Amino acid sequence: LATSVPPTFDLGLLLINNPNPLDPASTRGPELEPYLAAVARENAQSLLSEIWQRLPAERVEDAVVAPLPPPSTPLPREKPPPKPKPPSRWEEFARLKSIRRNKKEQAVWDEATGEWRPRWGYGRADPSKEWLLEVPASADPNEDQFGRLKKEKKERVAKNELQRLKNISRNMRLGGTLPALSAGGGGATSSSKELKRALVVAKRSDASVGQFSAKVGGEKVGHLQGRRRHFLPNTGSLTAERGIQEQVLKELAARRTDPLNTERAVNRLQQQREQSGDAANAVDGRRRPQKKKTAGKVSTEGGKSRRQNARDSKSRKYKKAAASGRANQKMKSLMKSKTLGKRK
Amino acid sequence: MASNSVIKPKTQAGKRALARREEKVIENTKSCLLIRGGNTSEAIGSCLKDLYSLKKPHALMLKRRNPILPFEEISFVEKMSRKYDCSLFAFASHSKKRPNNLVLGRLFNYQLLDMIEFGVEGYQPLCTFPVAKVPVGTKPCLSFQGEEFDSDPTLMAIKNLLLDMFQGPRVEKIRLQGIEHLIQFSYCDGQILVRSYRILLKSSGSKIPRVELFEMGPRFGLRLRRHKLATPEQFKQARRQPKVATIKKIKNIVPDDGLGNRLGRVHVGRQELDKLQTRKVKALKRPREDFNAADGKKIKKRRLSDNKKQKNKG
Repeated sequence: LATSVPPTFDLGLLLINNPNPLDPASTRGPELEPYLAAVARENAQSLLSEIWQRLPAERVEDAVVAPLPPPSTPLPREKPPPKPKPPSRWEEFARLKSIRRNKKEQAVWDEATGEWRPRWGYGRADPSKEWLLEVPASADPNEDQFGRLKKEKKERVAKNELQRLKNISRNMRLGGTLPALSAGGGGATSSSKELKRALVVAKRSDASVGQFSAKVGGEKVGHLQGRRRHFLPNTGSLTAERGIQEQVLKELAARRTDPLNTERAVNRLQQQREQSGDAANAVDGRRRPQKKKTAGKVSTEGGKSRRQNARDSKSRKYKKAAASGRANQKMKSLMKSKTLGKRK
Repeated sequence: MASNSVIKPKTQAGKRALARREEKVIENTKSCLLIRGGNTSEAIGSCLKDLYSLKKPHALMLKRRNPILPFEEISFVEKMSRKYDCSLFAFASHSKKRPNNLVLGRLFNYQLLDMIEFGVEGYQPLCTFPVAKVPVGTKPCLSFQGEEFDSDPTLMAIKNLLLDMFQGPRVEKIRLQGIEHLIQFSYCDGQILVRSYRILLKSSGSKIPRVELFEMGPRFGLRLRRHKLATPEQFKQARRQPKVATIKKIKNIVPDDGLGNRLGRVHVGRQELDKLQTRKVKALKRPREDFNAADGKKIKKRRLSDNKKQKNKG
């Protein structure tokens, strides 16, 4: 096999990259598999030569091993690298006071049994399993000593748990994320303010806008914060309702300066004329073969040229659009301010 | 992190399982999740099983059929990856439009990174090859033949994914006699031909052994169909490595000069020798008039007793 380009290696992955293309003639028909096997053999030989030459062989027990270098091909990780854990309150204190951990031995001398017992785990001298407890001089003689020990242990466990949770909440505040509220890679809710905000958002993100959600302790609910529409009652003062409706109609009427839209009427007329093809009644001044006049047609005010007419109609169109736009806006504002259902 | 969660594990096994899943500096070997689609042909089902054999023990085969479409809705795969802690997946399905379909993909932080859909052609199962198979967990040698794997961006991405999929466990040292498996990927006419061989090392004249290959199977060709590749930013984020503490080199000190001496250079700084404060030695303080007079005569040393005599006299 004539290799024009030498192969490259990544020994960390036991990888050989051979950038030479396969011979197209050999890849057809029954020669494919033997050809591929030959190519593979060449590649394997090159790779093994590289391994044997480059990597120093060591002897471990009865095997010959070679240390592999780290891979040079960039491969993605499975998970992001771990974030350094901030120290707990005790760890900070210990650091400041330079308190070091004392390594405790596993076995403890137990006086009662007279033998060495493990400090923890199976076979330890468990104080809770004591069959005999001395009543201390300062204690009430009727007090249950066993019960007292149990209670104290419970309290200690609860305190430790509280400290642990406090540390976790401190870590969250300093740069972690609250898992429930940061779905899809959300930002850190570092302050109580953000937490409250998140709660408000979460509450109102349902169909009933949080009306029926249970109130969380310490939560300040805004007065009808999410409500969208508030209607006046259907029953009530008829005169008031009538008055409102009359007002609406009055204002509508007042907007229309021109009750008869002359522009529109004229346009309509022209359309009719053009459709019927009446030359005499056509607006443009060009001579056309005379057609029969039909009764009831209105004559236009003087003949205008076609171009002039087009210009006028365009400007009319724009004027009309503008006027209607303005009218629409005014209508909208009207609807906003005075409707039967009041908007909050 | 287990230590940072509100819920503490109650058993040691639970604690170990959580510790295995948490983010680490040096990660676990990537596991592959093998999923069967709604419909599979015999060929593609068998191909998936062979893939499972190749990837054991870092593979998990889901028993049930899952009628999902990864290219439409990837959430099922992401959920399963989170449940079983797998960051690679292979999805096999068969339909008229996409016969013998195989989707290979990987995830970063339980979210899809990239996936590529192949059509499997010319498949021959593992069992049809009479050669003895390699032991489970062997690290394979990988060989990529073809210029397109270095030039074409899609094929470069495919190569990266195949490397990730087949690289096996990450080891520091490898037993040289244990290099037994070779997987060859060759690009030919729009297909990636995948061949798997068993390596036998024969003694040659030189130190480097002679390689002999025996095709062990499975054998198949992958024809590229659809793909959903990671953006450069996503890949960059997935590539972020943790800061590893490096050994600081001590400058200026030679630990051993060959004779067991530890040498270093002491930098004192600038010194004004005439203004140095040293031990007061009177002999050095007296100007040496006794011996060197201007006229060259030797001056007689004066004794204390002489002073007294003079005093008494005068």
